[in-house]
Amino acid sequence: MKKTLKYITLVAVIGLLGYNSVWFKKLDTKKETISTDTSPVEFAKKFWANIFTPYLDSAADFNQFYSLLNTEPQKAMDQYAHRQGISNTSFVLLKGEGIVDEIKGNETELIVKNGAGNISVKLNTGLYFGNAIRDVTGKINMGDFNNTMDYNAVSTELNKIVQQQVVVPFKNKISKGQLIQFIGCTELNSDQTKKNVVEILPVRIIYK
Amino acid sequence: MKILKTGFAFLLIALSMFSCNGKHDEKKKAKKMAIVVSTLNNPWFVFLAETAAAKAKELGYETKIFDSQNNTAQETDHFENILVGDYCAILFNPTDADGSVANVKKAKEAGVPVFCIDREINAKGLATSQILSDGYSGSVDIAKYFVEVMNKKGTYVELLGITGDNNTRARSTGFHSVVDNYPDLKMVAQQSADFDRNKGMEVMESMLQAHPDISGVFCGNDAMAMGAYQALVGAGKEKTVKVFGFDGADDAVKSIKENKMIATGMQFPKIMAEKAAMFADEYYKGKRDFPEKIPVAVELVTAKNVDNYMGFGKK
Repeated sequence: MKKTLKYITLVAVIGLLGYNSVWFKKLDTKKETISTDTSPVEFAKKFWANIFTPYLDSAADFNQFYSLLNTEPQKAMDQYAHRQGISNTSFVLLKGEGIVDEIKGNETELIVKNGAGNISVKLNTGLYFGNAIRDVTGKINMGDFNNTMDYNAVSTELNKIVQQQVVVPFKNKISKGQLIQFIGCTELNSDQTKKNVVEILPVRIIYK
Repeated sequence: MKILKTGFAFLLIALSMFSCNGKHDEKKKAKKMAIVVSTLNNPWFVFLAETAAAKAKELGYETKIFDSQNNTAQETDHFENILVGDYCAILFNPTDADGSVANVKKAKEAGVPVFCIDREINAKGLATSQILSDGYSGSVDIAKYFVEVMNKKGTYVELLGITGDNNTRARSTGFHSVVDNYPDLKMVAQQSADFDRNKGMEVMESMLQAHPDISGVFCGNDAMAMGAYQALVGAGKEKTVKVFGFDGADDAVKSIKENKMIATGMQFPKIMAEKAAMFADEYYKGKRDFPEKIPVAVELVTAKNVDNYMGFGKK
């Protein structure tokens, strides 16, 4: 009897200690992180290479997204859009294919074929000043930074990377009538989810 | 029997170790919230403080508003009084991003949660949550409009807010992250007017004497913009110099309607103040998991969309 009680007590103590000392986490919930103690320039470089570029594979299909946006805007936003804090502005990463219709100073117009007809897409080829790159993945959190200046500086640095690595080479290479595949960020205001013309900041271009 | 006693003693020690998670040690404080605001000499902050107080009262709390008069020493005195005054939370609009950190640290050590509103402190893990205006992005939007209406050329001046406040830096760097890409837009003077209307007028007057040919002025808040506009009226230049502000204050919204000012960035003090009071209420009721920082978007207000807005928010 004494022995039984001794073992029960021992098991209870070991169980309690064990339960509170070890915990398990699903592998797919483990996030890739970058230290916010590095400079905004370094942070942006690492984010672009290690998080943003792999994330491009998860871009939503342009036509599917806009079909859903027209029929079930809330579902489209919940499924594909990211935003920071309390804001009407959300960002979506889209991939699609289109023919270059017109090349203007700071934008290139594409015609994207869609089941319901053609959609006009404006690719931004000028300077970009927003937070699309920083916020479109939902993987950068303002609270991770000591101060918002660093958080904002990361956005500026990411915009510079896109300008140098994507926008300028694209501007130099593009010609009218060319078929291209694009991945890019679009900005949506929750008051105006239905747009006639879609504006996209390109982050990857494939020439066909 | 001895073994049994020893076993139970082990069990009790183990149980007591895991039950001491801090929550049971906290003494329940009175339902009183302190609202510490950087200044009450600016209608925007008066609105912020009064809205926070009204929401806290609606949630069943007593409230008291403390005016730091843009002085960290005054702010420290307020915190010392609050921490011996049995308040359950502090809704805090800091005076200085670095200078206010010590006050928040003291409150945390005393077990009083601090919820920062609008302005941040440069520290992680001290404030329970910081609900912050996204001034940088708001200024980027103002700057894009500034470039458009200035037609990418001309000279301009800038009135800065309080040096040391992160909002001053965020608004200025956001603005310059855009405007500095246009070489024909030249800033000829930049000076602090401490977010103050009278100082805004004085600084603008002296800037106009040195630079009479400017065509634009960007001000880090609407109070300074209104002061700058007064100076322009005094110099007979109100029709030729375009005034841009930031905040979304009542008189700025009216000035945009009357074509006196060109644009402002609408912040949402009501949203921030009410959110802080609601978070403090949730904390009082036992919640402990809050986002470290929440950005609140700023919207561009111009003559094109001004009818959708009123002072301090949307209609």
